[in-house]
Amino acid sequence: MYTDTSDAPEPIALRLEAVSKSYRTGTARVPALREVSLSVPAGTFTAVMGPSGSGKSTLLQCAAGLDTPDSGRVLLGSTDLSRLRRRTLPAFRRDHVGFVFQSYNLLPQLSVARNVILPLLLGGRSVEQDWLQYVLEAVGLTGLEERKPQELSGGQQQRAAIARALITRPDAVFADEPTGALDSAAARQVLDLLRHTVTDLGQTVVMVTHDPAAACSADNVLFLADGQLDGSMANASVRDITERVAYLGER
Amino acid sequence: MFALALSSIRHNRGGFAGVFIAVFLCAGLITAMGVLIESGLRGGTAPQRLAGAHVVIGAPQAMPVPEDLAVPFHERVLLAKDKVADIASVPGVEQAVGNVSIPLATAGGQRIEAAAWESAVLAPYTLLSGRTPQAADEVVLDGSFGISPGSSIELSHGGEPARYTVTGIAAAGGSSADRGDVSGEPAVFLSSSGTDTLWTHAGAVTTVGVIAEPGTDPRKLAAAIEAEVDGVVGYTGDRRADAEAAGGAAGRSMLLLLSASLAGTAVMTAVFVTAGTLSLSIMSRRREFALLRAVGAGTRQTLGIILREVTLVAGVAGFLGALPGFWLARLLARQFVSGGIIPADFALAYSPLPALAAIVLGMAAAAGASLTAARGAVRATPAAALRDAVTENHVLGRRRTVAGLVLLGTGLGAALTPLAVPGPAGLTAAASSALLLIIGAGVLGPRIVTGVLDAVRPLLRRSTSASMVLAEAGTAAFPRRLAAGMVPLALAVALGSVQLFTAPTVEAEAAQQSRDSVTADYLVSAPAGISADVAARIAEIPGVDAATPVARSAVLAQTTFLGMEDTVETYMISGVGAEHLSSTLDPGAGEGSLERLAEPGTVALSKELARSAGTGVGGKFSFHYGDGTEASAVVVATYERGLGFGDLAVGNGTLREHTTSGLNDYVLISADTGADSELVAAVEELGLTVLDRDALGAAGAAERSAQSWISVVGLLVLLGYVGLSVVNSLVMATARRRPELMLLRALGATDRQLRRMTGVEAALMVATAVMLGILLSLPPLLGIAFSVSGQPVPTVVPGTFFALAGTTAALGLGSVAAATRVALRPVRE
Repeated sequence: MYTDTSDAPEPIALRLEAVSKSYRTGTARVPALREVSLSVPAGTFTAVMGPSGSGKSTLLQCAAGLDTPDSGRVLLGSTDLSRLRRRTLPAFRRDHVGFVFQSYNLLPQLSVARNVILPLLLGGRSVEQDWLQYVLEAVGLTGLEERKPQELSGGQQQRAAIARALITRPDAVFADEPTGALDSAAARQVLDLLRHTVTDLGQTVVMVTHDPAAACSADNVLFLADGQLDGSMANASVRDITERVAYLGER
Repeated sequence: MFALALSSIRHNRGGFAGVFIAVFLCAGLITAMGVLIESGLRGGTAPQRLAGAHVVIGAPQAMPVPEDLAVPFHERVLLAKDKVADIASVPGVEQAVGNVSIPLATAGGQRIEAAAWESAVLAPYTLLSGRTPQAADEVVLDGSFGISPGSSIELSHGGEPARYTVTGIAAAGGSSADRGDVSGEPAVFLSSSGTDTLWTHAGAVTTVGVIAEPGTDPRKLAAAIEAEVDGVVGYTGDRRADAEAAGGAAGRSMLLLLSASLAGTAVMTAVFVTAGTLSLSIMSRRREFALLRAVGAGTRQTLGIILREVTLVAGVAGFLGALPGFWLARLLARQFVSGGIIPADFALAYSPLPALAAIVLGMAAAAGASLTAARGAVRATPAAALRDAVTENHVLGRRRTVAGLVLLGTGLGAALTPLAVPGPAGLTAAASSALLLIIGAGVLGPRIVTGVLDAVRPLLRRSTSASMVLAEAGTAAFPRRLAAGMVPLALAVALGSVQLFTAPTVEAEAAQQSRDSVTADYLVSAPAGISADVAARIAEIPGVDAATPVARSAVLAQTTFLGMEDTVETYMISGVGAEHLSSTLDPGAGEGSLERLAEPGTVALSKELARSAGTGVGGKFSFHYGDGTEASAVVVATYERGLGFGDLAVGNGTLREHTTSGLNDYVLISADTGADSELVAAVEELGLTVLDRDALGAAGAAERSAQSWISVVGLLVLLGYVGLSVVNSLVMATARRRPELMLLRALGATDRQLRRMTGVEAALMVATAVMLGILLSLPPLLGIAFSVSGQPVPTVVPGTFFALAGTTAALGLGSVAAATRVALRPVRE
């Protein structure tokens, strides 16, 4: 069980402690997360599932430091994100967090290689050529380095985005519906790639998805409903997950 | 469909705000120009001294030019005195009074125009106290002098002071309080014997004021008089003022001339800049149009949607922008007044016409530019359009490339025209080349930007700074965005340089030529001119070696422009005393002898004018004097320095016959060695002003600076417009980058890095703009300098240039920096 922070296998890559977040719509405040606590062991692949509006994207953004919770703590590696100042948070995120967006979000004016090394450039860090080549090969983009993103297919673009997330050797890679815009073959490639980075590179990956087929690539699946954690499954099959999701939706 | 347009406008509020501002500014500028042009056609001053005359009759005051505007004569065209009786005999005329106008100066140096007391009935002026003037030394004044009947006043004519006895005080209209401040000029009335002595054109009058019999329509009466009497023009209503003081009509022609040339530049600039902003706005929405096409909108339908949106926004913006245009016209008119172009009481003509023209032009520019910019995106297949919408293509269409090159070539040709065509024609061509070059460069803008980037890329590539790398990539991927900001900045630098340095270039040469052409030691002048008698008296002062009276005027002559077209040009003319001329004047060696100007029917020409007129010593030259008299004179000499001396010279007496005042402007004297101080004292004793050689040049400069002041004012308005438009389009372009900036921030870019990124892009843009501006201003300036002085060396004032380039750079950098800060600001929840 990952809801309990005490007995999780160590080391822990990500820990959320009683994280709450609400949004203002008009005059009312709508809670998106209600006192969520969880921890994710290093070197594992975690999927977060839940119906629309369950708060799964908010969870991911708070965990990745893209958003700040109203209360509670987020610990990434050994760093307490809530303690970081507004000014130092971007730099920390750049160097320690990888983020993969549903819509790839590559810069059209930069070549694939430049897009991949952009976090290093922004951080003023030098590029290790071997590591870059390794990552590009791992995502299957060797030979396409000088292309512009818009000259690639959707699957290739998402793999370039994953390479960008990996290049800094982050504490964790967060992926928000990474296969949402892809056909099933391209989606499979992307999921295999994420699995590969966990298994072979020892990366920690947290992925939000609504697709049971995508979620079953993960080691663990966390279910979210109404802003609260609602159980988890380890090494689940597509069928298990589908049933569970259907149950979540019925409630 | 309009509902769709409206919701799209609401959605793209930021982008349409930019479009709105662009058209708003464009409409304002064009309206102002339109008001000035319309005023040049219809505006004018209200009649003062002739306000009581129903019809004012004058001679035709302009030379008709086939298929073009009539060119006004420089001096008053006079009417023969016997016409007064002819006019009086026309049925419906109760009374016809001939007018004369005599320039006098008060002891304080104020210039006033005196008239004969008979014409007082035309205001009408009535005596408040005292009696009418009878003797030649009697005068009636208005209240502005603060003198009561019985006392005396000193008034000088032609530098010759005389004492007059004030016999009465008169006021215009029924009540003095009513009209007292309306007639801006003080009124002085002499007796008819008094005017006869001073009026140099015996047998002629300036105008005839007509009082109609009761119940007669002034317009019909004017037409009747024109039909019955040869060679006269009847003025009624406010137009009477044109005949009353040549200032109103001359001001109107000058206004028309100046505003037409300013408006040409302004309208082209406005349309050009607006089109640039509009295409920028459309370019950044290509993705949206591709999506529209993808959901099934046809090509025409999509273009129709764009057209509706743009015309809706541009229509409202044009309408609202036209309003401050009227205010801007008034502001400009006030500058024209202080520049001495139009009289202070000149009334502008206001009608909705300029606003209408501005709205139509603004909308047309907006719609045209939008459709042209959208065409590419809309015509491509939706898939290709969506793919291409991500970045911009730097390759221009063939037609666009050809158009740009043709414009640049034509501009270069025009700039080089002075090499082949001497005189004002060449100068005009060179001056007009600037705009052609700028528009050509604007059309090729993205290509130029790409070229510049290719040149500096190796420098940027080596950098490991994220800001630099991103700036380089951004500029390479979006050359059109960069060009859209760069081109108007370059326009400001180029147009500003050409306009600002043309005047100093001409001025420097004119000052040089003036200095060189005058070898006299002193210049003697009086507030209202110097009569021939006074000039003769000056020549007899002990210590004067030679005295040359000089009268200045302007003539009209037909010249051939580029060998095809006859145009009527205005040329400055000097009337000089031919005796001992060589010791006071040196207009530069040429052929023939200037001393021969003493013979009647002779003229001397500048070499330039002789060449463009195809004549020389021994040949003939035909022209019209300022008073309209046609003349054909034998060329007896040519000379070098036309710019300082005037392009024509005739005998002093000959020219004075053809000027309204009949007086000299100044007398040049050279002194016997050692006689200086006594001589100066003796001249000042006569009540005249003496300038030495150093002050001499300054006097000419003041005369010329009125014109250049106006062009500076016009330029400032234009630069102000371009500045506002550039800020607008840069803010618009930068604001649209918010998604890109947000993404980079999500990837860990700090705000400082982002600000530096847009800053480097802006610096590249500004540097390119300034370089391009300099490059584009060089051909016109070199051409102008060559035309003026024969040397391709323009006079550049470094301070002015740095102020211009600095302001331009600050505008570019500042608006991008400010817009980046705004774009990075968190959106409030």
